[in-house]
Amino acid sequence: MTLLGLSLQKLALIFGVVGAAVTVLYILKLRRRRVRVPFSKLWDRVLREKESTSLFRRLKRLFSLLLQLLFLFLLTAALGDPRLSTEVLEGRNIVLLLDTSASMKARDAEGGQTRMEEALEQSRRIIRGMNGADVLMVVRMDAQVTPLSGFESDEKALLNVLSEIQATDTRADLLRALKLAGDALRGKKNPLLILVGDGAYPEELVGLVDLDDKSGQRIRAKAPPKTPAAKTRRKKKTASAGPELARVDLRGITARFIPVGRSRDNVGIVAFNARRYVRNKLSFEVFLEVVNYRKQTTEVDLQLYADDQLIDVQRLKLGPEQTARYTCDPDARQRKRKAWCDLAATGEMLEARLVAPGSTAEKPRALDAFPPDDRAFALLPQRKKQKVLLVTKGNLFLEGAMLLEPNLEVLRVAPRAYSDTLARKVDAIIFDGSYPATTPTTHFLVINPPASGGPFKVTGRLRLPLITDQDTSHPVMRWVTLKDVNISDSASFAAEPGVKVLAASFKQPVIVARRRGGTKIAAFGFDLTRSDLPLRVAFPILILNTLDWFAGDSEGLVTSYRTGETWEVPVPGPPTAQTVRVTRPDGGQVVAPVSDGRALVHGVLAGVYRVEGDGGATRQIAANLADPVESQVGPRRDLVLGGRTLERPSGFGAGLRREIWIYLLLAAVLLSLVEWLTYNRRVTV
Amino acid sequence: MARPVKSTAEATQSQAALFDEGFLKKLEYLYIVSKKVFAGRTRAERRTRKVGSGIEFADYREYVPGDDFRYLDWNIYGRMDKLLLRLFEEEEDLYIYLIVDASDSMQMGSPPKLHYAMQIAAALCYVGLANLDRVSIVTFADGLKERLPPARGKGRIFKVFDFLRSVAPGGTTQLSGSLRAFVHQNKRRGLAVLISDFYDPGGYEDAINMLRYNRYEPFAIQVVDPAEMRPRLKGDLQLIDCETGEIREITVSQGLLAAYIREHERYCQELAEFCTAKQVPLFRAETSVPFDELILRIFRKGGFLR
Repeated sequence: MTLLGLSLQKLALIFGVVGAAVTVLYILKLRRRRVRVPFSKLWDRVLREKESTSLFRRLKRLFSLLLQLLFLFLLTAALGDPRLSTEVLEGRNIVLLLDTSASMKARDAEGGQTRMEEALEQSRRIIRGMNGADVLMVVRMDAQVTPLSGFESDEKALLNVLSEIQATDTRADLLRALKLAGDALRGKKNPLLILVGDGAYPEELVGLVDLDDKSGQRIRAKAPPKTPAAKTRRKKKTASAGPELARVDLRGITARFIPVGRSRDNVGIVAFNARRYVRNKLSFEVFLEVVNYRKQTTEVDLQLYADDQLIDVQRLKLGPEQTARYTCDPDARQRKRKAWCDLAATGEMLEARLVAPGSTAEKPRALDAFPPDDRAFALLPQRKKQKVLLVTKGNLFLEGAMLLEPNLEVLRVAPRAYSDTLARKVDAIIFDGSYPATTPTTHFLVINPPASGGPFKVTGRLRLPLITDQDTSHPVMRWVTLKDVNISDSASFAAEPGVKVLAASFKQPVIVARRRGGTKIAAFGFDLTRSDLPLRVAFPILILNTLDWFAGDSEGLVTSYRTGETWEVPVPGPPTAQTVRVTRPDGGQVVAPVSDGRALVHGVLAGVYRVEGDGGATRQIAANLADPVESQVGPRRDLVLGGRTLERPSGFGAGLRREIWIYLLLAAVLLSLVEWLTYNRRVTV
Repeated sequence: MARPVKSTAEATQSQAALFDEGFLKKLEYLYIVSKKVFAGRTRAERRTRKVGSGIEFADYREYVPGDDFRYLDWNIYGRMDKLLLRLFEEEEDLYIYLIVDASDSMQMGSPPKLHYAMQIAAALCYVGLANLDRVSIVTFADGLKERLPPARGKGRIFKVFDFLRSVAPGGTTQLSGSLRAFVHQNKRRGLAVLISDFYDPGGYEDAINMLRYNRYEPFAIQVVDPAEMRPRLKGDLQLIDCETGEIREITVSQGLLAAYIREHERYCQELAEFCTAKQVPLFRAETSVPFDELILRIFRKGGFLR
């Protein structure tokens, strides 16, 4: 028994002084009400009879004193704040790190619970088992590490925080979470980190943590298992800035681990994407990867839906820890591997599902313990014709280049016939040798712009410029080479902030692009008819790349996003919108900001999101877990961090408040009731 | 029948304090019953052993020279040739002593028991005076105090009121000593109405016996206050005896209170048993009972008044 409140000497002093006062008060005569009676002899007789049992009476009065002293003892003891264990001499500073990553959605905990539910239950036990001097901070760990409370000792507030927590479809950022916990606990007394999770973290990450003997004895490092997921993790390791920089120093902090989850039973889709063919946008191909994390061969049905219409089913037989990859590259085709190529479904939203063989909508059978990766989504761009307004006095090269693309609907007008009304009706404009007085809000390309008043500032003219620099990473310049292109003369643009130089002649920009309030603008500084570019293969590609860039329908178009990241989503409707409203797969709505015509959306749930811009224009986007690390749901009962196996937390009594003083006070209150009752009933007087 | 009482302002005030005129009229029809026959001093309405000029025949005796011829029974002389003289009962007055306890304990109660006792005394006094008895009032505490000499006739009732008003209460109760002094001071025997609460630590037996042994006809009227019989006390108290000043600290519980009530009842019962054994009529006069009801109903029902 230890005392966290007043010291034993102080308590003895208080008890001695107040106890002496109680005894003196007990001995002191009670100030009684005076009553005159006519004949006290009668009272004498009565009292003589009563006092025949005077020994018992004296004992009863003594009992009253004893009750008072016991009452005082209980109060004094409560002041001492006694504790049962020497372990809790001082309050602990605890960070409760709660894994809310996707793997916590696995339903393999006790009683058919998800890991998240079990983790929350364990966390509640920890909070209820805190002693009075402990303070605890709840930190949620998924793709983002979020402290949900400060260091609190209020049990109710902490439990309220827990009630809000749900697992997301994102990966756990373990290192960042440990860093945050380390920063929060450093310099505090009795720091304690409790990690509640399934332990399904990459091996190379858990090795980047430094711990000391407080957290457990050092063990010999074991080679990580060579699973497909582990291989993926190793690849990801190379992306980090460097192992030493990423190291987390938790020395001086006691780290503990509460494992949840039991099963590694999972077959999941770890990658899913689709794209239309450039040459034929009516068809598309699908890239998909399915991994069997089980130790035994597994058969699953892989279904492909387009707009909720089943378009294909394939039965996969996957060996232990085997990966099935659907891809349409020539190598795969030659090897006759599984592929979904040249698909021509009418839908836009694609969904891949893994189901147990024989499972039907009426009688669904659970495939595995981790459903979130059994479904994946992708959205194909809309197959609508792009309206292009060509403002030219006549340029067969341009018109010829656009004839190559059947999805283009070209409207040619003379510069004099151009109007803003006409501009608003099309998806893109090409100004050939002219430029209107007012800058259009539609995406546009200017060829040979005027020296002043154009969308880009012209610094001068270049004679016989030679293209020396080219930004091939830009969608407009993809698959294009402009070397050896002869140009008679060209305007030289100013490389202003926001201006992307796509091609330059000795650092003098010749082809530039920029975004202005959601409007994409590109400019060629030269007259096409005064160069041999139209005669090159690159020309039609350059024009079509530019129009594809305007349409947002490029090769690099993302048809599905990965959860846990911030996505840049093209704004539906007018690109001038400042914010968009995003409806999540669970029905919740958030407002996302827009930057350069792209909405910045952070999604933590897999599924289909609906983005709504100004004027009611909407766009759907798909998000998938697509994370082999999270799909590797196999839990660890023992987590090794920094070469040490983390022990289980102790000093958290379940179902019992650690503050004994509360019980002492309750006993004192109860005793005072008893004393009052006995006094009122004249038992102790 | 008594004449209407002549009133003065002072007398009216004293009278009003004790009882009203209507009540007085009712009292005039009452009569204090005496079982014994006492020898009176003047002719009145009480029969005595004394034979004389009364109208009620008592006995015969032999004629001796000098006797009044008018009382010779000539019929007997004619039949038996003997001269016998008829004797008649003489009607004389009765001495009624009202002995009122004026100790400190009688001042307690609401209304004070002494006030109630005085009302009784005044009422009985009036009854006696109206019947031409000789009524005397004596107060006592630890000894005899004031004394109203025997008076006769309703006209003396104002002196009675004056006397009662001048009574100075106080002192401890000493029944035995006080009544010993009483019997020594009053040689004429008669009714002795003892009005007291009988709260005498020395006991009441000797006092009552004192009256009996000296051939008085004692009547006992015990004045009690309901608050004394069933006190409403609770908690830690310091009891002070109003006469002795004795202090006793007690904590009154329900049990103790019940024990006291039982004890008080036992005390009253002992007094009643003693009086019954000694053939002394005892009346318990609770101050909560309306005074006129006590006089007109309870005393008559008990045979004290007729």
